[in-house]
Amino acid sequence: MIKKKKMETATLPKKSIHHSNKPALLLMVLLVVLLFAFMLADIMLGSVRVPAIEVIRIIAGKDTKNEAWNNIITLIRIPKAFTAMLAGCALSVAGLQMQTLFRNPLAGPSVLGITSGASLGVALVMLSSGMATSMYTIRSLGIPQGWLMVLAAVAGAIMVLLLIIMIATRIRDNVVLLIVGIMVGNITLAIVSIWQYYSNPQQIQDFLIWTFGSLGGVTRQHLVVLAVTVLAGLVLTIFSAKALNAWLLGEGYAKSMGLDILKSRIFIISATGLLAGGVTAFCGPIGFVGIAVPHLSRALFGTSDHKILIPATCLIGSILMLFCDIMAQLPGSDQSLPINAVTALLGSPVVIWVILRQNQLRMSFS
Amino acid sequence: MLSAACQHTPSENQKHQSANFPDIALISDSLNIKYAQGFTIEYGPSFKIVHILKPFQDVADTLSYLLLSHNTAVPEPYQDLPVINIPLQKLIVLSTTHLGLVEALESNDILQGVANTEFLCNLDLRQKAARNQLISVGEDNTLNSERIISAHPDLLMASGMQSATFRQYTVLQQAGIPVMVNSEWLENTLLGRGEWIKLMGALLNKEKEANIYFNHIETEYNKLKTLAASVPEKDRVSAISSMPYKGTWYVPGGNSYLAHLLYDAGAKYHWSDSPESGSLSFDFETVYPVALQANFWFPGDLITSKNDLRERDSRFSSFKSFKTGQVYINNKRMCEGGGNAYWTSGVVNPHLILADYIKAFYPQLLPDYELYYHNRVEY
Amino acid sequence: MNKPGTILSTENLTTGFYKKNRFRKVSVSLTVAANIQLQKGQLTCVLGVNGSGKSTLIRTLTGIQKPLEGEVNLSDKRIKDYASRKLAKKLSVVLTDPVVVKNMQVYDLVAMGRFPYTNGWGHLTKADKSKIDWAITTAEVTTLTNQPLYELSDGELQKALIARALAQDTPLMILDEPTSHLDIPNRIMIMRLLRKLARDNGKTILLSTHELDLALQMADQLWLMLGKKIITGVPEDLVLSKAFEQTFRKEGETFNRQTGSFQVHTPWRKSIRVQGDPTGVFWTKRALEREGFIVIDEGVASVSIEVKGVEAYEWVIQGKGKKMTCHTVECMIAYLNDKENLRQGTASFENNKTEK
Repeated sequence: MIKKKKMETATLPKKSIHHSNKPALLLMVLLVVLLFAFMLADIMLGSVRVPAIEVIRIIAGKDTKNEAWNNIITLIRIPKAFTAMLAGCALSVAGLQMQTLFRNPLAGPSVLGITSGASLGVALVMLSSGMATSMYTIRSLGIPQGWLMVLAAVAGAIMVLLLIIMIATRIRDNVVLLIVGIMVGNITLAIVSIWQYYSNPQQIQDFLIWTFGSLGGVTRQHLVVLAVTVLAGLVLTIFSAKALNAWLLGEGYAKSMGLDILKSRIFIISATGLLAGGVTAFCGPIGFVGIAVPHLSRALFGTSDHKILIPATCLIGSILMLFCDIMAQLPGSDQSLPINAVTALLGSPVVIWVILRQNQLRMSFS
Repeated sequence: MLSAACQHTPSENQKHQSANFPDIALISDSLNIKYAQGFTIEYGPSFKIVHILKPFQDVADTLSYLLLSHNTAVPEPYQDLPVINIPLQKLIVLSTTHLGLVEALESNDILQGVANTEFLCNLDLRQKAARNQLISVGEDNTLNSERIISAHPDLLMASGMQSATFRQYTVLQQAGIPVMVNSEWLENTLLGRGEWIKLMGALLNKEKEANIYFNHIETEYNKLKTLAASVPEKDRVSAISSMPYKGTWYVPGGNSYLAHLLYDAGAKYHWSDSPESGSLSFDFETVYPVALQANFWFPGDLITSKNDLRERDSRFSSFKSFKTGQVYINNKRMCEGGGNAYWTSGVVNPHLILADYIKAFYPQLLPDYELYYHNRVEY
Repeated sequence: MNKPGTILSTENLTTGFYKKNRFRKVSVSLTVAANIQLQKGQLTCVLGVNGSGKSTLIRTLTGIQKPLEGEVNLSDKRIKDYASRKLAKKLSVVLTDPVVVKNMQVYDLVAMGRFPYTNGWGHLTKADKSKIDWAITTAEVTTLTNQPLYELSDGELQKALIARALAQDTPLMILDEPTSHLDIPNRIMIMRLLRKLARDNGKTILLSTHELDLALQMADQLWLMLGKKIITGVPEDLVLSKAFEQTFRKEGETFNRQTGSFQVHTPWRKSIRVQGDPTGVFWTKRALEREGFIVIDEGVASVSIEVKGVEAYEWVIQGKGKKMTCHTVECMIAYLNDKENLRQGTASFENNKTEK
């Protein structure tokens, strides 16, 4: 690639050489290595100490002398690590798309009420059907029930997204949009709480526990559902990469360059809904990752090209979420903290940093 | 040996029972369930099958378990049932009430873990916990699956209260740890709750002991009940239970075990006509007029003095029970770490709880009895 | 549909927008029944007072906004019949929309112009890259390629945006106020660049602007937004036909046909005759007009000024029987403003305020 570049420079003597993507590639490789490292660390840590060698043996599929260790690694830690990875990637990529589509640096699944919309969907499933959680139903209908939750959450997320878009076309003010998002979030939460009032204590407790957010509650069957949903969202996002770049210049330019605005919007909203809704359905509302990670990746890669930002955001999001999960297990290592608390602790400083560096914000976004 | 058919069958559960159990080595005694509505036990030639009929408050669903001796082949028609190897040698329980069941059958040595060792009352168990031979595994969303898998008990007994955490139980089941829902708390009589000792008996192959124990408490309970029934209608007192929480007062429904306890102790209860077996939620002012007139009040174990009550809500001081000093709190047997024996052993001592109530209402009926679980709040 | 040589034309085009009042949607038209043509290879400027509908016209001609009535024809088809990608290969725009993603590098911005040509992933082929290089060179942003947009000045950013439009490789470029917010040298630079693109590269360029002077000098054609009509023509014709004056009367300014610029100052004092070195006279006149005098070249006036010199100027002021020589304009103005100096005689230099 670099060779070609030089040849062109030779034919056009006055032109300066455009930078190559070499540092981006290098960084990406580094992130992948980091991802594996964090994943391994996440699998190694837990309340029961399993020797590192045994962990690696179990991951490699070799027999271990301790069946309990095998179960702990394969049934609990590996699904949880994969959940963390998927959740981190999905929420961050959803946040990236929203920031681009709304051209708003503070957009993110939790800020604009997307997770609240998904919560509404989940509440619909959890509070209206008591059978959702019985052992029998889980065993026999485990996957369909998972799909039902995802469907409801994704539908809820997309509903709120459409509402925000409707408002965004009328109001161009970023701050107003954020306030509207918060209000939409509040309305959906209010509906959920009114609903809770009419539900029995068991169902409310179900729902409340879900709202704490958890990576550990995802079983292998659910992990499959989550993975399929997230992958579908990512595929849609990758298809939108070129369009997202055009959206950076605003709707007018995007349209003038031949982008089918409506189709592209539907793609982006569906992708965001699948990503944010899918994760919310299984892990509960997890905040701050969606806002913070896109900024981190922009800062790290110094680019606004979504062809680089999408994988970068996915990788950094996964790493960050794994890190949060490791953090959640560290104190005392007896019980793990709710993942929500950890992402808030790590993510909100980033958001504050973004707000404080308003100049930087203007440079990069408005 | 099958006990005599019972006269007042509360449910049709017995029909599941089989009279054939040739394997005497396995089954020492059979069980006849009279009061409990939440489970049934079937006996096969070399196995037992337990059905939990109402594992959750919100779900009408039956969970079944196959109880087998170690190293016994799974009988053909029951391939799909989760297998529990009996007699249990390692048990983790998540509810303090389960501890009472284990302790009553003198099987504390099989306990491997509880939700939180802090709340243990039994000194031996506390020492065992101090030696790390008894672990805390948490509950609800803090359930520590890794520790449970690592301990690998023969059975995890869950209370069924937390149906939300069932997703975590699936992991345990995949790891080969059977999870039984013991929803004794959903029974609507104290004897029904106490009868779950028979389930524990089946799990421990201690049917005989369970029967003996239950027959004893049943006899005691019914004696006391007859005693209280002798109180003439006009002399009957009225009583209320529990305390308001954030403006809402959850009172026992007319068909709950607490309501039945009041009837059995010879008291009148304002909501006795409601069909609820759980609780009723009212706002404060709905309960207030009833509470003003009630002779007795059992507010729970969250307070210790009249001052506590007054600080919670000054309106309490205008209650008749408050003025006459007829407020009873079940905190007589609090334990070191904050546990309360009422919750642990109460389930297997329904006669003592009933005696406490009768003693409170009609002291002349039990002149020599001393309150076992309750304190009268005088100051 | 278009005549030969015409790239874009309108048929009874009415532009405007819909406004919602309490009961229903009401259309507000800005330009009514316009039939105008855009000639290939020409630089055309749209001029008009604020609120005359320049932006709406531009947005309608680019297809971003729908017309209230009438049609816009681009090449051989109605603009509304174009598939969006086809249209993007015919027509590129530079908008007033703020570019908010400023950590983008100039090269990437320009490369976006290749959007309608690249595959679904946006991969740049060799041909794309050479087009981008050409656009960068042509728009004179070669030295800026690796700079992020936030490091650019307003003028540089505008050039980068023009480069992006160039990379889109369209015969027609439409620009909405490309010179606003720019300082004078940058305005001239942008207009010069656009002029060059039209002349050297055969691009047809339509732009809206407030720069009357520049438009008069640079445009092949002018479109004047006069009321709800559009008057088109060669700049000089429009000036001579008073269309220019009429267009801008609204702003309470007087267009001076002789100078081709606006008369900013209203005279309220007597005439002064100024003669001498042409450059000196030009600037002296400006100063005197600012002070409210009427400046005449010949004829009778009670005061006359002679401007002398080539390198160092001096001003000889005569009148009311006095004579004064100044070496700066400042001195000259001070002299004329001092009542004492012109007291003798009719006091014709004094304004009413000085009467006592």
